[in-house]
Amino acid sequence: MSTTSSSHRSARPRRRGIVRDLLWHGLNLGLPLLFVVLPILSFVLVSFWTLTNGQIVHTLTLANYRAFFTEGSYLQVYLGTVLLSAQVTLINVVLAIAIAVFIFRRTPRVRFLILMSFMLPLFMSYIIKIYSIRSILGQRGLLNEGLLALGLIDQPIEVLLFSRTAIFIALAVLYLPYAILPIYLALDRIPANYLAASADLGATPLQALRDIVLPLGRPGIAAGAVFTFILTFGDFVTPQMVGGTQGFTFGRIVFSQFGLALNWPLGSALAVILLATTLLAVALAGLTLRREHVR
Amino acid sequence: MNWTSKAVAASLTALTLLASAAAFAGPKGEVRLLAYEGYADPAWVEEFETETGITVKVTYVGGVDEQIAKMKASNGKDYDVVTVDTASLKAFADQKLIAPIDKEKLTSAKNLLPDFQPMSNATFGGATYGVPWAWGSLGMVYDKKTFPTAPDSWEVLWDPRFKGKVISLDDANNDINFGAIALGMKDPFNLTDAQLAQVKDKLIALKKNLLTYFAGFDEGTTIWSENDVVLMFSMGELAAINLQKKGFDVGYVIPKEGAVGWLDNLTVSAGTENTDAAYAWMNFALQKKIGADMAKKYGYGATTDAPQGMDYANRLIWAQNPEDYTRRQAIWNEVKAAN
Repeated sequence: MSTTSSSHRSARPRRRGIVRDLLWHGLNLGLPLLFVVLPILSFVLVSFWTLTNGQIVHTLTLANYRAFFTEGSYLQVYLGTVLLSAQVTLINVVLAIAIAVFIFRRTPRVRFLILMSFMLPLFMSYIIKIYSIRSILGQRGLLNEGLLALGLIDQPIEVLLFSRTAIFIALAVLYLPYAILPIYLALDRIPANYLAASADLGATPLQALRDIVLPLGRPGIAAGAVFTFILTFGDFVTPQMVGGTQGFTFGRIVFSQFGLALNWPLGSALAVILLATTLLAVALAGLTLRREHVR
Repeated sequence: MNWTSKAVAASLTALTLLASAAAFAGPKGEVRLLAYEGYADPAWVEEFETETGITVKVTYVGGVDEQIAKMKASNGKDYDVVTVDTASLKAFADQKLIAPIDKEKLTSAKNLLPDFQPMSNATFGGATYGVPWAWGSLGMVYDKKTFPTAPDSWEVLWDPRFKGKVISLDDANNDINFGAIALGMKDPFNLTDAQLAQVKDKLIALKKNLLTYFAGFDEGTTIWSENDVVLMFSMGELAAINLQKKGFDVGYVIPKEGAVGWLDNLTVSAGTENTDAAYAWMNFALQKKIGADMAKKYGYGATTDAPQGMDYANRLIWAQNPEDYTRRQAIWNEVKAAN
């Protein structure tokens, strides 16, 4: 009696364990499949359809992709947006490295405080931040009023807002925390004795930065660059709100196909191109890291 | 039966009674409205309910798509009175979602202003499908200090003297309507290829004079107040009203070329089972005092009471569906991508 019951007891939890494992792996695999891969595949499929007389035609064709390369100004806007995002990425990575190194040099307790103060903007609504940037850069904005009051200028600087410069400034400000965080985390993992050793061997702080800190921080720098590029490339709100007549970026074109135009096939094709571009950015970042690893 | 089950049974009976009472909703029944925001003010509803004994149930919608979806779901059986914009009236009538107006029952038709009396916007195929109810326009807002007399032509927006001081609504369809109207085209909703090309060039030319585009009433007002702006192709009367409330000395004008107007109509659902209640609400809503109250509270033009300053209804071009939305979006994208 007691032996049978114990064998039962040992067998059943095992079976339950298998069921639980299956369920667990199923969820692990199934949820991303259901919520990430399937939606992406569905818009890849839609991108091969076309819109004729307001009706979606379910025949597979490359017409939308051809349109991207040949019609209108899609390609021109795309290249302009790539350039803009690359510029923002460059300035943000430089700024973020400087800030991360600055934080890294403080004592541990102060580090956390400074890091948090740079992360604080992430707790604020994105739209509110854009509105604030706009009220700072406007013709009657804080910056112009301040400069006028100080007598440094006698006419408001008009190019500050509603221009490509404004998009550049706003994107850089909005996405800086996303570059600081990964770079700082990479630096934070550098053992303190590496730096102590280099100092013992006579390296100047600048040499230590160039030969130890930056090379070891490379994975973080690559991650920060990729984050900034992807986020700025896809942003369709900031350019519209601060860019004025220059505020038409690639994200905006994708967005415009889903309103009254209802051109989902073209919109999907453009979204696939956007996705491919961001994947390319990730791959490039991965490539630089791998080379580092081999050496 | 113990006391708990008795209590349950009693409350179930009470609930059933309450539910059936709600279904009857008073001796005179119920009128169910499908309306846009501002078309069924609580004060009017209360007055109507005490006057007639008919209960009012309002369902608000945000746009035409949502409205058609709601009507189609039950072939109109869920609603009695529906507010439909002029451009969509024909689609509603073609799909038999709304019924022709019975002018015998519409005793308050005499309250309509002369411009709206013929109900020509809502008449086709020998029947009238709606009664004009509320309207507005996409006119020009101007700074009164810069322009002591209102500009009389849209051309002023292209005047290089005001470079960087002009803002424009960002809306593919309405911007193309606006460009066509500024060019004096007769039917801005059905443009030929040659006309569309002309409109595109005209809008690209305007772009060079613009400070920025804006989307929505709030955005236009905010940009006006934070920058040195003197002219706006606006979303409507409310833009000027909001700026005046903020203390800006601005005026609102419909230039000589005209402007797009929108006109919403009260219609009777084809699925209504309480026609009398539907007409009771329409006759109540089409009173001069209700119209005046709507203009005051929401800034819409009434069809029964000419609001102060809104004397231009006959110069508006009532919005129709355009020849091709997708095409217009593509052209508008070209304009926005142009350097």
